[in-house]
Parts: sequence; C-alpha cells; structure tokens
Amino acid sequence: MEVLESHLKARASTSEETDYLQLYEELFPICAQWVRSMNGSLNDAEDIFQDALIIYFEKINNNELNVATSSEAYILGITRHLWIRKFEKSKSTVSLNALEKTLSIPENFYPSINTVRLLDFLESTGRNCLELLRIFYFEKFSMKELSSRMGYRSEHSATVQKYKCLEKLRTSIKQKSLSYEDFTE
Amino acid sequence: MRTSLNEIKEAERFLTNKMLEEESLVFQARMITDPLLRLNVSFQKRLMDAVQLYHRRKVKHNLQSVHNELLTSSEKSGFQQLVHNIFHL
Repeated sequence: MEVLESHLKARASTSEETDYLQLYEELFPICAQWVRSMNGSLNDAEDIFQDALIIYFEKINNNELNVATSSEAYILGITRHLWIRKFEKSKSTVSLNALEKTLSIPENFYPSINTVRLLDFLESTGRNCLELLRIFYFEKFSMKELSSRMGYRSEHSATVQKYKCLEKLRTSIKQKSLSYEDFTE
Repeated sequence: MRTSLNEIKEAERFLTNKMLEEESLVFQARMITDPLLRLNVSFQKRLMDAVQLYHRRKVKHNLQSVHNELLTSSEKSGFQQLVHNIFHL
C-alpha cells in the first residue's frame, strides 16, 4: 500500500492538477462576482465554488454531462443551486435560466451523520482499503491500470484484493452496527 | 473465488448500476426473499457512500490547496487583484 501512496502523489501533480488550476483561475472570479452580488463573502464563494467543481468532476467522470452544456454554464448553474441550498433562500430570489432549472445537486451530496460517523470509523480501521476503493470507484482507474500502478502481479490479484477490501470493510461495518447500533438508520 | 466474494461482486454490480434490467429485477427479488442478502447489500451501500464521502473530502482538500496557491503565488497577481476588487478587500 505504500507503493499506492507514492503513485498517488505522483499522479496528483500531473495533468489533473493543471486542469483544476486552469478551471479555478478562469471561473472562480465569475462565481465570486455572483456570490458578491448576493451579499456573500469570499469564504462563501470559496466553499460553494469548490463544491460545484467536485460535482462537475463527478459528472465528467461518469460521462453524464450533456455535450451541449459548457463547463462554465454547468459550474455556475450548480453554484446557484448550492447557494440556494446553503442559505435556504427561496428559489424565487435567485433567478435560474432554463438550463439551470434542469440541474440538481447529487442526492447524497450532503452526507448523513451516519455516513460521517461511519467514515471516521473506517478511516481509523481500514484506511488502505478505503484508499484502494476510492481510487477504483472514483478515480476511475481500470483494474489493469490499477494493478500495474500498485505493483500487483496481475489484474486478477488486484481484482481479488478489491473484493477482499469490500468484504473486510463490509464485515467491520456489520459487526460494529450489530454491537453498537451506531450506524443504523 | 469464494461464495461470499461472489455475492459481494454481484452486490457491487447492482449498486453501481452495471446489471441489465432483467438481472437487476431478479436480484431485487432475491433480496426480498433473502433477509441476509438484503442486509449485506445495505451494508455495502453504506460502505460505498462512505467511500464517496472520503473521495469528496480529498478533492475538496486539493481544491483548497489550489485556492491558496492562486491567492499567494507571485505569478498570479492578476487573479489576486480581481478577487480583491470583487470583495473590496
């Protein structure tokens, strides 16, 4: 797993980070201008703009972004939704255009207290597996890439490791839930 | 692969919408009749939610570094001026 950590560090400094920086530099001022017009602060702008980028990157990763929608229109549209949600302003005070009305914040974006507690628990007991699953599901590495980057002998052994991680963490959630009822909904 | 790993694999395909419609319906029917399967799938769903939260926190952390870099790097004075003007800092 140390191999994994170092690969991740190497990867973080490559193209993805350049994309982040360019998008940020280009769109943050536009978002900040709008937040300011709503009497928001620099901190508000920083917080919701970053959340909008998180949602945008997930859309891109899942190929869910409509090709006709520009990144700028999408990110600024989501920013407005996040603003409405954060400040519980009624939608009538923020005007949304036709495209913006079709956008929405992912259903699980605001985690339940149970998910937050569960993550604390998993971070203290199974961080390596958590990292492997994160990379596989959310960085969208193929099993082939993942096995070569992480130094597994074969795609097969990386796949088995992934399922073992799912099993290990699932079992610990189960044990914890049954003994403390901590994470039961 | 052991039986339990196969069950995990199936649950994964179900939770990540990789199943064909028919297959998914059969799986849902099995969950109705098999309480243990249902419970295991619900734990796996919670695990996926926790992994996603872990990922979002990581991305947020990276974005905060980008933000700080843009606001402090001497090469980005144009950006800094723009932000200062917007908020009358």
